[in-house]
Amino acid sequence: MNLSENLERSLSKVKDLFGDSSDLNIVRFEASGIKCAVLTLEGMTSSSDLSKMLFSPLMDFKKLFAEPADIYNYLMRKGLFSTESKPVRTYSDISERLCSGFAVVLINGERRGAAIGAQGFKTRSISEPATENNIKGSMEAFSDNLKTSMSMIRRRLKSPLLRFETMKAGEISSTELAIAYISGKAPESLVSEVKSRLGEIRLDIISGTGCLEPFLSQNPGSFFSGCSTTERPDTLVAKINEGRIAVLIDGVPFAVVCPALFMENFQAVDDYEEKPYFAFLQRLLRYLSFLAAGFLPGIYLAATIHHPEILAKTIMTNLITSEEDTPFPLMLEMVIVVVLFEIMREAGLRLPKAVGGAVSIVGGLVIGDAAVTSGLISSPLLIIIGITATCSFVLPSLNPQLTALRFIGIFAGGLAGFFGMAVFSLVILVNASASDCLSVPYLSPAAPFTMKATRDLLWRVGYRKMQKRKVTVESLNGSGRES
Amino acid sequence: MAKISSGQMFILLILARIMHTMVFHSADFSVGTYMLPTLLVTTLIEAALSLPALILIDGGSDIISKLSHGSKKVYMLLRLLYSLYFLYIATGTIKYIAEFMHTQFRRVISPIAVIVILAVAAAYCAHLGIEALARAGTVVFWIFIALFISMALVSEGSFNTSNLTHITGNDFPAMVDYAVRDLSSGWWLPMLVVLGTHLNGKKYGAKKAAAGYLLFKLVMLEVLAVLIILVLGKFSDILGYPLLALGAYARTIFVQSFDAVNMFVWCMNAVLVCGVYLFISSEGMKGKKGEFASLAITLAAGIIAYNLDLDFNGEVALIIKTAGIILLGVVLPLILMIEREVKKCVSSLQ
Repeated sequence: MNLSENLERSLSKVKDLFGDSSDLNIVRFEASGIKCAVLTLEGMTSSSDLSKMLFSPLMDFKKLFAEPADIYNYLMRKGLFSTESKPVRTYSDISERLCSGFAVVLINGERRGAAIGAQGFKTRSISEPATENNIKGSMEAFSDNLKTSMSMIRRRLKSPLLRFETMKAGEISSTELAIAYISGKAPESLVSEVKSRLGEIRLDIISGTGCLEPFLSQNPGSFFSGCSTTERPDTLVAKINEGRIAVLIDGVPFAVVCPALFMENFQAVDDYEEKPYFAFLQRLLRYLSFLAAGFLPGIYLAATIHHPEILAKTIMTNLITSEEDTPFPLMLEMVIVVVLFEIMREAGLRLPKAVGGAVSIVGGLVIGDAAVTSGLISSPLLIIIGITATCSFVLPSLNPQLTALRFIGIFAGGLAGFFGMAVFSLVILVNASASDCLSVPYLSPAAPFTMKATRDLLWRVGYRKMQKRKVTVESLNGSGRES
Repeated sequence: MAKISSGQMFILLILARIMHTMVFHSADFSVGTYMLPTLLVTTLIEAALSLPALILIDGGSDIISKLSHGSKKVYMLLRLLYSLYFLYIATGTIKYIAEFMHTQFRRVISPIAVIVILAVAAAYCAHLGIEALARAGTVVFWIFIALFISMALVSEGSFNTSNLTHITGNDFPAMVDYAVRDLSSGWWLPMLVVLGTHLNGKKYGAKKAAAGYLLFKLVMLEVLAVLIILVLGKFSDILGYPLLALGAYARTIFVQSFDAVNMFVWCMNAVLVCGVYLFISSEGMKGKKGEFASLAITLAAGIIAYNLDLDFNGEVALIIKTAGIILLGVVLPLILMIEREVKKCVSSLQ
């Protein structure tokens, strides 16, 4: 609905639109004898900026026989009030601008208003990454403020080829999203596909990265996610440099990157700071950790319950001795310990940091000592869970999948031995092989195999070679070009 | 349409062959030196038989699409024949895996549960498509290679060269029997025909896959046969699964016996290969109904076959398998090839 020429009528409509919300501020004043009003939302604009940028120049505006259009032109064309000034013509324009931290100036007798950027809301300052720690390299994580996050990327990629395209998502929240990519590296088709998928979102609010991922990856039956998230601007820059597309969300200090590959979960920032041989060893450990975190409890149950012949005699004797005194069947014992571990992990995660340590102490005492001493749980089983838990911390990005794998593995191995584990592993493998995001297979460059891309798979080649063998995600697209 | 590379097709064909070698030929015949030249001859015969299919596929003819789009009842019947043939092969594979589990790992899980789990898992994998199966196949193939190498490295078995006997005239019947058995296991030809539809457009794709398969199959079977003869000798005649026994010689400080490790990899391969068979059979019965029908038939047939102890290596089975190979893998491509050439001649004359 278009604005009215009558200022009071327009203000009354805006008040109605916001339901007389208490944070809607309306300041009335006269400029050259014409009634005007400045609308802002409490806390969304900076009062000092407004006073310097808007009120002082407007109060100084003097013109004989001034028309309302003169003030509008002064605000929009002649005066330099802010780096951002946008015209508003409808009430929905007003609400959108106000919610984005603009001050809206309405003029009596004028059907247009001027929205002046004067954002001044408080945001968290730039902090260190909380989930992607590193030893060397940058110590900055994204901010909750979209503009700040965008500037952090721009600072690292000082090129006009870096493109940001903003759009809104969320029927009610109208959350601002920024699609970031490097022109010429990210295929145009991929960029437009991402935009079209984001445009399809009909959720009321966009509260986090999880709201975007299902729409971007569009793999409903997939066990793994075709998108990844990062809170590190340096990681994001490296990913978009490979032709990927990132989506930043206003109010969320994480960016969604697509397409994501399984192998990327095993790469860390420090791999690129150390010598290639060390990075190789680190990655090898991460792959082993993945196998141990997901499959070790299941393998242990399968070996001890169904296939004791597989184990060497001394190991077997030790296991039998320690299991003799425990009251529960081995599988139930494993389920209890794994569930207890998950509960304690969850509690440690949600509790305030000061109390979180107490959970570890209780966990250590209850499970580690008391349960073994009282004979409820055998010590080999506890060692297995200890190894599993430690390994699961190595790959935080795969934690949901590893937790699920562990539980399914326990039932598969406990009930059907290595046969169950084999079927379960193969089904997961085929599921992962079937997954893709934006036509890039999730298991590439391993399956389908792309020789060129193996430069950074398990063994990371040195930077001298890396600069000669540039790879983009487009070259990993498997459909019809499997090798 | 989902596409696979010639390398992936080669891997799927070879995994199907490995599956067959693992479980189908359990203690059905006496192992001997006579197998070595026989394998060479049968491989050459297979190479010759594969020519019509290869010429047709690499010539750009899409046999299955032709059958699918053709409205003639004969085409529909032929399409259905492909489905039924691979359902038969899938049923046999599942039945033999259930038997293998029952005889070697009796305590672990009941055979009926094995059949149900295998069929459902294979149907799910088939539902995810040939691309997914082919990519997973690559991983399983390398797992197999890693298993063979690691078992060889830690094997405590020793070679007894006196087991290598000269081939005499008395071996001739055994050679013929083995040749027939080996040729009746050549359903890679109908597989090639169906999977050729999904081959990406690279030049000589089918020929590369077939050549790779025949060469790898020959080397693999010759090596395994030599190993069994040298390590096990006549002892292998009384063993249910000679390859499993070969693995029993391998041990490390932690792993006393590789039987369960072998079974783990074999079962992974069984699900994958059965998934490919079910995928092929559901190609003939288009749509989701086809997928469900393939699962239902395999499940029911597998349970019945196990309970009635149907022999998939007996004379009737050999006839069915060989007839399928000849009809679906050789004769049909030959007819279509002749048809194509005749059409070419007619059009050039016009």
